Amino acid sequence: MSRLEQDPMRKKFDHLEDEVVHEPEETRLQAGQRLAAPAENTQENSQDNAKQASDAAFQQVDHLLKTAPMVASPRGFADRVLALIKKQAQLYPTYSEGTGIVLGLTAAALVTIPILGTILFLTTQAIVNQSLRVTLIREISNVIEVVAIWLQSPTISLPIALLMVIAILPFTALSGYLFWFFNGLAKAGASSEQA
Amino acid sequence: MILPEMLVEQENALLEKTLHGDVEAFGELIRLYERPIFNLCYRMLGDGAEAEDAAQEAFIRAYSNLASYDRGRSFKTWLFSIASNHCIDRLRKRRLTLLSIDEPLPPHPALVSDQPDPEQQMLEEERSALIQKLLNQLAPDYRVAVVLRYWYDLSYQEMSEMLETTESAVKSRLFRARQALVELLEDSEAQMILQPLLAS
Repeated sequence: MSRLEQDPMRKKFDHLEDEVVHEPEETRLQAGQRLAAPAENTQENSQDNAKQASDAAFQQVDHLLKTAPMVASPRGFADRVLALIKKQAQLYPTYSEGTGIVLGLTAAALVTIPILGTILFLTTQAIVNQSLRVTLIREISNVIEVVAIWLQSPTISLPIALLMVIAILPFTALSGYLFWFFNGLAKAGASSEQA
Repeated sequence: MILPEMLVEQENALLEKTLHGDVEAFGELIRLYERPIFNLCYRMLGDGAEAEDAAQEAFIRAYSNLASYDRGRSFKTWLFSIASNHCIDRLRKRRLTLLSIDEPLPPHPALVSDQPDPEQQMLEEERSALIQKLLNQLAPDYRVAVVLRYWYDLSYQEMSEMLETTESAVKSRLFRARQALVELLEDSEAQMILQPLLAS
């Protein structure tokens, strides 16, 4: 017997409580069944149960995903990707090739700009100044005449022709390089499309 | 996701070499990341052949845009960002072809080859198929959040950087994705597969 049950006030209170119990409830109590819980308790209990179920379901998902294996890449994958990248890299000039192109074009520009600049300056002057235009035409015709005389004499024309070839060589080399580069670019593009 | 210092140094050296035109150095970077990138693509797309294609494309894009890569950021995060965005694009183009739970995808060969115990192997296959079926039913934005969080253990900040969104958006996507997965798991067929897996 516990101290609580022996308390006379407690005994009285229990008795009062027993009187409140209705007959159907008493029958159920005798049969050892639980009494119906108040509405708010039922709601709270169902919410707790739902929360517990939901937590369990979340844990289930977490467990499933956390233990999921990592898929291995197919054999030879890295080599295949690298081969494709190498093919694509041929489409674009590398740093060293790019430097070559830039230097070549700069050299060509340095040679060409003064020549074109002089021609442009003279042309502008000739258009503006009539006497200069006449002089210029006369000088050009004189040059043509001198060249014609030189061409008639092999002792003069041959060294000049040789000098011209030497002067043209760098331009030819640059043009050849550019042609080779762009031709290669087009071929690489075509093979990449085929791949 | 913190990389060991040695790996970061090795990665930086390889990046430096690649930027100076050494394609082979980039090959080493591919070998370093091929598995995580392929897994990401496979989990996102649910198909081995398409995943291979997407992973390949991700590496090619990374190589082509290496000059614009901000060295202050983690290379891994940057690479993952390229791969995930590419997979999301592919999924959007595919217009979310949902796969039926009745038609399980065959598991990736890499998942089934190294299990010596046939029963264990079968369970692994079923687990993989179930996970993939569940993932396939999520929207691309949710799917990527789940994959990055559970397979790579990325922080919300890293994920928000990669997906170009806010941390709260990532959190909410992840929560909704998990909620959707819970609902999908309640399916009786899924439970039938799941119970033996959990018991094993």
